[in-house]
Amino acid sequence: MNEHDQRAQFREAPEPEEGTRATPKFVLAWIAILIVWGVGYYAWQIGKPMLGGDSRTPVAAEHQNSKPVEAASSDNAETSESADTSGAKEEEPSTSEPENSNTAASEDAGASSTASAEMAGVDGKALFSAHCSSCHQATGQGIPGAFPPLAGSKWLQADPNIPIAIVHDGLQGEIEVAGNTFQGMMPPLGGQLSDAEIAAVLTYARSEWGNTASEVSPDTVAKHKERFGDRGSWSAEELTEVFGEH
Amino acid sequence: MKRALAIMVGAALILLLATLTLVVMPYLQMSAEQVPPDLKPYTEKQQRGRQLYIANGCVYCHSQQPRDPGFAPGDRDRGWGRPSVPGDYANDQPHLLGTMRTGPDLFNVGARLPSIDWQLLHLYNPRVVHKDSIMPSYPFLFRHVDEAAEGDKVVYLPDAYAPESGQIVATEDALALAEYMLALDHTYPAPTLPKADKPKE
Amino acid sequence: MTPTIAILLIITFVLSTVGLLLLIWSIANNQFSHGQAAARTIFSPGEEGHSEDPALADKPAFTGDTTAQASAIKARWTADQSSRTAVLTWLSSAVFWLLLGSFFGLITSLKMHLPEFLVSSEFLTFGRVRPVHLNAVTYGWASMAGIGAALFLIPRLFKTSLAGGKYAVLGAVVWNIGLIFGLIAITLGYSDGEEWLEFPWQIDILFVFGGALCAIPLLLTAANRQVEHLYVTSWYLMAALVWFPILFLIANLPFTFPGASGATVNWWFAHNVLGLWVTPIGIGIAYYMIPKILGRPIISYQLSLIGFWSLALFYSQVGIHHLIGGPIPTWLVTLSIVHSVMMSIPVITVAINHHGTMMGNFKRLKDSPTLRFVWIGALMYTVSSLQGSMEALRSVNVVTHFTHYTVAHAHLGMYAFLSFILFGAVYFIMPRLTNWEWPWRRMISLHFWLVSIGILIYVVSLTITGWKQGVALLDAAMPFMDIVRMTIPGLQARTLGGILMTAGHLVFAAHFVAMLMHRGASNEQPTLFRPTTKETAQ
Repeated sequence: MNEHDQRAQFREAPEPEEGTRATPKFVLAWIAILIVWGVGYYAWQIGKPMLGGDSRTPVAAEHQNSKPVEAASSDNAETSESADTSGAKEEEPSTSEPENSNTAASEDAGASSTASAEMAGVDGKALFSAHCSSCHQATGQGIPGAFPPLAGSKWLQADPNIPIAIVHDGLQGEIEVAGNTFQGMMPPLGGQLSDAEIAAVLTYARSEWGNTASEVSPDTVAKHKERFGDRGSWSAEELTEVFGEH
Repeated sequence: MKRALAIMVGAALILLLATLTLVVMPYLQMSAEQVPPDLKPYTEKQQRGRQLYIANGCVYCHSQQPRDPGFAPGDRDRGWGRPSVPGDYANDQPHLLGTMRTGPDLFNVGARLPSIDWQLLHLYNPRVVHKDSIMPSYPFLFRHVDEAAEGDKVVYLPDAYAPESGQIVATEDALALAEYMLALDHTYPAPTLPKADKPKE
Repeated sequence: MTPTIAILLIITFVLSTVGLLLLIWSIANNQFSHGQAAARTIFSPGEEGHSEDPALADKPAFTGDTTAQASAIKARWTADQSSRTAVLTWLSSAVFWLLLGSFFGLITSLKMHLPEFLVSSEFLTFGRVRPVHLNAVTYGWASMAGIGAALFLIPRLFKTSLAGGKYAVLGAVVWNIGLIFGLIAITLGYSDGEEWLEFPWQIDILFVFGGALCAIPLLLTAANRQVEHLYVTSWYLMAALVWFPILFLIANLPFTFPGASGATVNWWFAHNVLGLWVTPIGIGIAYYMIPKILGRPIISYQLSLIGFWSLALFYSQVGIHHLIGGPIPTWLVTLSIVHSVMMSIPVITVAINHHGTMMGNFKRLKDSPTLRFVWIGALMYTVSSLQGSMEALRSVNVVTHFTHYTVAHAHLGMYAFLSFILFGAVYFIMPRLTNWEWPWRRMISLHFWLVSIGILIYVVSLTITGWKQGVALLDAAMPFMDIVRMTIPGLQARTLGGILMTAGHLVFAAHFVAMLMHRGASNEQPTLFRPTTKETAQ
């Protein structure tokens, strides 16, 4: 054979083989331990829900379809804020303030009809953060050219019926805010926010960033709904027409 | 050859067992699980948007599967919604559950960010909305025109991002993708989420 | 449904553990002693326990004096000649895809902290370059290098010429065409939409054909084999070659698994690509290379049996640990978690075999490139797998899921484990097929240091960043954008690691081409890290 050509094969060790060392005892012990652990882990899982997904925590049934602000029971707020939503009025807490006290407080308040009692614990700032800040920004400055500012906005600080109409029913078309023109479409939030929530978030915005307008009460929101029912979005002209110059 | 065959057949049988447990049984169970009655099928435009989501690999940064608050509290606290159930994905072919949260979970982004203007603006250049965002821009989903025509959807930009002249207009693709974003709203109740018999103390 | 699922759960667990216990019992009762006796006959008389050490001055390894030794050398040489063209085709393709995959990986990494980088073109948008990277390195580099190594090793292990090698060459051509079409498809926006399965299913058919064309020669060679005992490497390689087609076929079936069940199939497939395709190839190669370089046997046949069958039993069912907390039945997630933890059994047994065999021989790491790459790879297999077992626990997973931690773990496995072993295999195989020695010692060294430091930076930075990211995600007090900002330094460090790794690949590829072209001085000695004038086993 040609030693040069087979040089690499030549210098190799023989083909590998397996030795005869017995399995160490600790390996068998480890296998036994894991089998015990495995059985234990499985056993611990007995009784976990079969449906719905992994690691789903069972939640109280009666909170499934109730709207947070109207629930009369004073049950644990955490279960009401739990996995099951209550349809379109699901409260989505903000990213910066994780407390879910609004629902608990509003439930504790029961079916009280006073504005302040209903709004007690409804966190306007948290609502703003969850529903408004993505466009209008946490600073209330909006995005130039795209989304109008709320700081210094006459529309926001005018007769409360104007911002209620905008938030509840949406706004479309050209609008001038603080000297700049904006074109766009603000989606309606009436389907997502309750009266108390709209009132709270507007109250917050109307007194933030140097704004100095009055509070808004849930009653006013309710009256808006009575007056206009289910309607589409407003235009700037329509608002001026219906509610007067601001 | 007999022993080699034994190894290969043994290996195949073991994999088939795993297929039974990981593929067949879950398929049977999950396809029998109730689909939430309020789940709406995708419209054609939304479906087209979904295809764009796939084509542009959005799944590599975004998940669509909020976890249970009892297990991972952050998901719900961030406003990402209730935990999802298998039935929520009945219209999803392929699934887009995702495995990364470089960006937020999008399962309920339509409920959280229902403004199409926002979706288009953010898609055009995420840094207009969040200056430190690392999401890519998608300028190729938009057209730069001298003047928008009737029916065009204009994307209004701050001066820093706007073109020197003309306007940015959304293409049909951008609109479809934005529509898909708005369709991602699973805030309706899910009957198959487990229920406790009595309220927690 | 409840009783059925619970019973199935119990059945699979019992099957896996009973299978394992049966195996152990039969080992204990010497059912396999026949195999061991046959194993001992491979060593020619007088060759046992030959530890080749460059320091042993004048004693040459083998002189080829005895007819047994001569026939052993001839058998090796014949095996190598028979697989030469096929192996070189698969390996050369693999090196090309390694380069392309690395570049796309680098672009992807840069985009994560420089989001406006190359942003105007839809063909280079992040969501397309990232799957190009993944598919190029998985189906291009890893799979093709793995198949190349298998084509080299099986004739050796069976002491039989590769039958039908030309089918394997054709298979490489078809596979490459599939890769080209598939990667272009993803770039153009045509993706099947699931991770690890992005290639449009119509193009997947090419991979089925290309792979099948390799199966023919390998099965024929197995049928023709001249040895009675099957060395452990061959079990892993044969099993891998059986497993991958089944996985690939089922997972890529179009329109079959919608919705959430599609997710279970997705991750049954994706994790089994790791566990039942590339891992067996990597472990099998290590089982060959370590004893081959050292000239010592693997320490325990019993452990190799336990390691193989427990890997098969457990690894196949771990996939759903990718969906913990998701819209997947709890019983299924639990099953995968238990099996993921049980994986520590094969990992420990393989570790004892690999590392135990190294005991007393660690100084060989200073000179042998093959051994250094392969053993570090084997060590990283132990590390990444034990990490994986822990990562599957719900309490850990709740933090690490959805974060960069998972990406770091994936690269610890696919790169520090598998790719290092493949590098080592290439350094071993090429001299035998090209009848040449690696031209420049320094290039091997440079390759080694670049990729080692690169992957170290990569894994450490992303592991820490990912963990912090996960902890922060669980607490809504930290706004999401703050989390993004917090991860930026880790992402930048990952790019640095990636630059080093890519540079290492360029060095490796250049050296590989030089080897093919017989560049550099003609040499009779193997190219080792340390210069030596003595003939050594390499």
